[in-house]
Amino acid sequence: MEESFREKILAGDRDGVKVLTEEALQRNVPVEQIIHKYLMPAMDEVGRCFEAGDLFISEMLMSARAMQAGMAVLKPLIVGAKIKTLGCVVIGTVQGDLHDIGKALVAMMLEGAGFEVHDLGVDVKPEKFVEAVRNLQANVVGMSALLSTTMPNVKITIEALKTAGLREGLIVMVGGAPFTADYAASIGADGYAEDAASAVRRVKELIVRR
Amino acid sequence: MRPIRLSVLAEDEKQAIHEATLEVLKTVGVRVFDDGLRAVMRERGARVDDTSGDVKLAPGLVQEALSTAPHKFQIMDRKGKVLPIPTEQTYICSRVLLPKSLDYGAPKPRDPVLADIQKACQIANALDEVDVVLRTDTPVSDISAPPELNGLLSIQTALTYTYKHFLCIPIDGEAMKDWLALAEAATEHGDLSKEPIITLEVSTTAPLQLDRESGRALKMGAEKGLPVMAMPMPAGGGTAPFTTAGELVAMNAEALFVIVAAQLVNPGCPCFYGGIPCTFDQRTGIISMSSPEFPLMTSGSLEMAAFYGLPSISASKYTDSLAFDEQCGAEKIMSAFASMVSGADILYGDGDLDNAVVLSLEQLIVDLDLVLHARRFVQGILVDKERLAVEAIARVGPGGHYLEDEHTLRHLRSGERVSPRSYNRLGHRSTAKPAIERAHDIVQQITSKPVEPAISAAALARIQAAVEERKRQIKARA
Repeated sequence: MEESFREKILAGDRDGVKVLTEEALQRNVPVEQIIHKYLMPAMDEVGRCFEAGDLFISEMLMSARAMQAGMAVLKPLIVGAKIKTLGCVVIGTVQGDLHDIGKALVAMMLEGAGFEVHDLGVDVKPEKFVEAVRNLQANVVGMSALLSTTMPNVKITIEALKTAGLREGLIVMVGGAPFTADYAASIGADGYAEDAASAVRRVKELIVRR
Repeated sequence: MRPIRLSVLAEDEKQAIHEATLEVLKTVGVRVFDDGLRAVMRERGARVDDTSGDVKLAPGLVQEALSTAPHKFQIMDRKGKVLPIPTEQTYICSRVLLPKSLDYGAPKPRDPVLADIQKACQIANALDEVDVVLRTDTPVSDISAPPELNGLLSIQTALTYTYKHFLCIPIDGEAMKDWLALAEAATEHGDLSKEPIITLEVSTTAPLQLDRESGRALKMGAEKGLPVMAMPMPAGGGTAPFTTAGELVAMNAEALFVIVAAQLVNPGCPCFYGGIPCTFDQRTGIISMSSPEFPLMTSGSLEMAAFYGLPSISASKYTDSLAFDEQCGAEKIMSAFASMVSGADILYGDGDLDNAVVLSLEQLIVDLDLVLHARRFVQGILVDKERLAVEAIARVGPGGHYLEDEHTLRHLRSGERVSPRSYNRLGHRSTAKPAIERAHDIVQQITSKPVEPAISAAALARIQAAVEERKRQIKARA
């Protein structure tokens, strides 16, 4: 069964993974085992293939969607069994900025890695970030900006989170072409990543440290 | 000479791209975030949905708007030199500012300072082959003024130290106001439609969006009659279709939308057709501005410009490389060649490294030579009785030489043969240097001279007065 999950996820076969997950449940395989022995290891293999250059990003995303199709079958049982995701992430492109694709890619890869992700879209006002972090009790907020004129809105949003009493214990990640690690640190972010794959690694590192 | 032209699209293929574009503009449209621009477009016949911001254009409206876009116009520098558009000999553009500057020999780039703008302007002034200059809106680190004045003062520096025509890329509506105020002051009579010393670049955000600030800048610039260059920047596989034909359709739709919008605001507004056909790199997730498909799609888009009879700008000579290396040379020469052989009226991108994030003055010199190199091919071989040189051959005869022959002397400086100034032509000799070192010598030679304003005292005073007025306006708005 482990090999079947691996093949279907690598192939990006959503329907196939859904059927396998249902079969596993019918055979009374525990939910935690399905997640940690079949779905997550298959995604780890996808990650390794991508890093090795054997898979393209679009193929990796198809694999992530296939894995999520399996998770969707398990979701009602996860809530009931109180099985945790890796964390809850709120992500968006800051106010005034319409650039979406880098942020969307990070969101999809975080989801594929096992995080619960809420993508607020683009041109997101600071108060909307605050509201989402509060309502969802997010562990992580990710902000993207691609223009030198919208970069300041990242700092403004971090300040808004502080004012709302939400900064303590929250992991703030930033990214986008104009950012550097130094700039991210200077505005009070906890983490910065140059690309989507390293963003996932960095979030995982920061979550483990907390 | 007869320019060499290369065609990557057959006539029926161009027609197919055009028809697909009309379908996209009619059924999908572009999302316009500026209320003012949407209102004008609605008034002039576009279908506007104010809830989504989507603006759709019927084919008839597109055709009508394109019929008012001039096929010929002119731009100018501030010494009165007129640059007719279109042109058979592509105009060359050098950069004066990017988000980072790379000093010769430095291990990594740094934030730009005002002296970088001054030096880049000196180089532009010193080299005859530079017709036009480009300034990207980005903060200059040693301007000791509030952030809202950084752009204004940096534009002042740029307009002070070079007189050449500017391609400007205002980051928002306030930056557009800065440009308009200072550029009007820089002219004799304050009318940019009569003295077109700047051209406005408007970029859409792929897929199919025109953000609020770009929309504001477009409306302001078109109202003033500034030449507007449409510069979409889709990334195939990410923000545009994966196929090259599909990306051309998406890019064509965004370019035409900007041009139509400019015509609806001000019929007859001069427009350039442009585009930066990027690729979403499927291995790294980075948007590449120099993939192997870039020169191919650049040629395709320039042919579409010609299909519409529109003048064109090619943003090229980008590289994903961080340094002057084999990748950099290969990527830049391919896109320079494609742009010129496909008939771009203006070619920009000199001096860039790392996807147009870093400006290197040495790279600028080498890039100008790459352009000369590509341009010589495009200029072709002029065949006439004089150039067939039968008389010279007979005169020199078997075993002679042509060094002092009158035919050689007549054509020596005619442009028949060009010699890029930075390229090494000394082989292995002891005085031979790599191109980048020769380029550095040239940069030193030019920038070691004192930096002086390139415009008259009267123009300086007018620009200074405009700066003070803009400061008052910005303060009042705050």
